[in-house]
Amino acid sequence: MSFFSRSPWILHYDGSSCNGCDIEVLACLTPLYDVERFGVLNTGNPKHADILLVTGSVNERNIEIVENLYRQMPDPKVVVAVGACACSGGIFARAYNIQGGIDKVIPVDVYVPGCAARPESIIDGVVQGIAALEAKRKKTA
Amino acid sequence: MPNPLKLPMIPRALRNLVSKPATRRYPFEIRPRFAGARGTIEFDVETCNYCMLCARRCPAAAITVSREERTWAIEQLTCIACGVCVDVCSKHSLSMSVNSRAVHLRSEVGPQGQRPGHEEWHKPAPAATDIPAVAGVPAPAASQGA
Amino acid sequence: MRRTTIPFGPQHPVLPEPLVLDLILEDEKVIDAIPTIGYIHRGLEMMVERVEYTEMGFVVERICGICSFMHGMGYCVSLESIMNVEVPERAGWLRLIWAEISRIQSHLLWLGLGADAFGFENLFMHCWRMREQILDIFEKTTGGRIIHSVNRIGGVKRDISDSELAAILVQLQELGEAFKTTARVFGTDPSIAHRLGGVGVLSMEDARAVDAVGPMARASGIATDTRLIGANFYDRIELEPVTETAGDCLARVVVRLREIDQSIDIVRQAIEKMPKGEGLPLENKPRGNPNGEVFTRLEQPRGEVLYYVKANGTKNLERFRARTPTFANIPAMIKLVKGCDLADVPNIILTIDPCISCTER
Ligand code: SF4
Ligand code: SF4
Ligand code: SF4
Repeated sequence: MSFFSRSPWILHYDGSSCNGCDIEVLACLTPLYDVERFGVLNTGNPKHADILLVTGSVNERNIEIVENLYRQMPDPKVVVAVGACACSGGIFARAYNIQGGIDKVIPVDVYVPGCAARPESIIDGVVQGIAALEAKRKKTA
Repeated sequence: MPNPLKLPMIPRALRNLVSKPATRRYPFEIRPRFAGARGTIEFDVETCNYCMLCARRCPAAAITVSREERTWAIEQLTCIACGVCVDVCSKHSLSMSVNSRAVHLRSEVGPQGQRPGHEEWHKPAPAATDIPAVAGVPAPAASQGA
Repeated sequence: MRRTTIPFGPQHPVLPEPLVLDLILEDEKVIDAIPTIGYIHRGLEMMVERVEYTEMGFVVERICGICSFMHGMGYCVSLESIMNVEVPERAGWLRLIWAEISRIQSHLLWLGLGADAFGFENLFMHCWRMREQILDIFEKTTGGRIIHSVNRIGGVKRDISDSELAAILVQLQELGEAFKTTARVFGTDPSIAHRLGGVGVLSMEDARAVDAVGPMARASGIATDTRLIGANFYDRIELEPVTETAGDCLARVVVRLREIDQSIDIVRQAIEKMPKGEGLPLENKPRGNPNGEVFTRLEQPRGEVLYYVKANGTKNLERFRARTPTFANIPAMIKLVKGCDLADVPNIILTIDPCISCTER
C-alpha cells in the first residue's frame, strides 16, 4: 500500500482515560487491523514521532506531561484525539479533576469520537492525521 | 506433535505460514456491523416534543434542548453511546444506528467556538391554530458541524 | 555504592498506562521503588454528587475498560441489595456469562501484553488475535466491544437467544482448543522459562502478609477466590480455584492460562443451568430512591474488588467507593521489585496485571 509518500511514526500517550481507548489503539496494531500496513509505527520516543495519539482527557497532573511530549516532538506534528474523553472530556467532563478535552492544552488536528472509539474509527483518524501532516509539511517546505 | 527441539512456536508458525492472513484490510474491506451495535445517535426532529427528558437523563450531558427556542442539539464528540436517551424518549425521536461516528477535523471548529461534532436541529413552532405538522412548515435541514 | 534514581513512566513503552515509579538503584539492583499516583485520577467517585444514581452505572463502568462489565455489574448489584430488587433469574445468569467472558478477554489481553514485555512479540499478536473473537461475541450480544452498557439496576438490558448462546459456547470451546497450542508455548518455551522462571518470587507467607488478591495470591498457593462466596449465581457453579505454588512470574502466567479454561467451563455450566426460553423477564425496575449502605465483593480478572455504596434517599448517592484489585496488589509489587535486577522490573510489574485506571479512578 503506497498511497502515502512517507511513514509517519506514532506516539501514544494515555491521559486520564479508562483504558478502553488505549486498548483499542493497541488493537489497531494487532493482526486484525494492523495499522503498520500504512507504514505507521508505534514508538515510545517523542523525538521520533510525527503523530501524537492521545486517549483520555487532561487532569491537573498530566497537563505538563502532555505539553512536554508535544513540545519534544519535531515539527511538523499532528495531534489525534481518540475517544470521547480526549475530544471533550466525555462522561468525565463533570468530574472535579478533569480539565476537559486535550484541545484545552495542545492544538488537536483530528477528533476521533466514540466511547470506546472503534479501531476502524481510529484507523480513519490516523489516515486523516497523515493527510494533515502532509498538508503541514507542504506549508513549511 | 513431538517437539524434540523444544521450540513450541514452530507448529503454530508453520500453520500461520499457509493459512490466510488474519488482517482485514480495513478501508478497502469493511465488515458490516453487527445488528444492535451501538454507534451514532440519530434524531428525528419531526416527532420530538422538546420534553427535555433525554437531556436530563444523559450521563454525559451531551444533549441540550431548549423548549423556548425549539432547538435540540447533541455533541457527537461527548456522547458515549450509552443508549439511555433512546430508552427514555417516549416519542421515539431518537435511534441508535450501528455506524460509528465520523471523524472530525480542526477545520470544522466554528467561528463562535462551536465545536466539531455539534449537531443542531431547529423546528419552528407550529401555527397558532395548534394543528400540528400539516401546516406545511418543512423543518430546515440539520446544520451539521459549524 | 552510588545510588541512582530512575523514573519509570508515566509514558513507558511496556505499559500503555501512566504508571509512575521512582526506582532507586544500587548498580543494577533495585533497592526501593516509590510509586507516584494521580496521572489518571479523574475524581470519578465524587461524580455521584452530580450524576443521578440511575446514570452512575455508566460512569462506574468506565472505571476501567478491561473489566468494564464487572464494574457495571458490581455497581448494579450494590444498588439492588440496597433497594431490595430481585434480579430475574435469566438476567443473573446472563451477567455471570458475560462476566466470565470478560475474564477470558482480560486474561488474553494480559497474556499478550506480558508476552510483549518479555520480548515475545509473536505471542502478543496471537493472543490479541484470539481476543478479537471474544470482542466480536461482546459486540454481537451487548452492542459494544469494550464498554458494554448492558447492566441496569435490576437486571440487564439485552437478552441473548438460546441458539446464540449455544453458538457462543461452541465458539468459546473452539477458541479454547486453538488456545492450547499458544498455552503450550507459554508453558514450555525455554526462553520464556528462562525469562520468567524464578523471577519475582512471592512466597505464600509474603502473599498473606501483603494481602495479595486474585491470580497474584493464587500463584503463591493461596486458594482464594471471591466467586466462592456464591453470590450472583456462582453458588450453582462447580468451581475450584486455580492455584500454583511456585509464586514466581511464570506461575502467575500459568494461573491465568488455566483460568481461561476454567472460565470457558463456567460458561458451559451456566448455559446448561440457566432457564431457557424467549421473552423471560430481564429487568425488575427499582422504585423510588435508594436508602442505606452496602458492601459488595466480586472477583474480577485481577482479583477481589470491593464496592461501598451509601445512599440517603435522594437521587444522588451520598458516597461511592471502589477498592480495586490492583490497589491491593501494589504492596506486593513493591515488595517484589525491591532487590530484583533493573531488567526484570517490567516483567514483575506486568505480572501483577496492573490496571492503573482502576487504581486511581
Ligand atoms: S472515551 Fe470512553 S472508552 Fe475511551 S477512555 Fe474515555 S471513557 Fe474510556
Ligand atoms: S447515547 Fe448516552 S451519552 Fe449519547 S446522547 Fe444518548 S444518553 Fe447521552
Ligand atoms: S428527543 Fe425525545 S426525550 Fe428528547 S426532547 Fe425530544 S421527545 Fe423529549
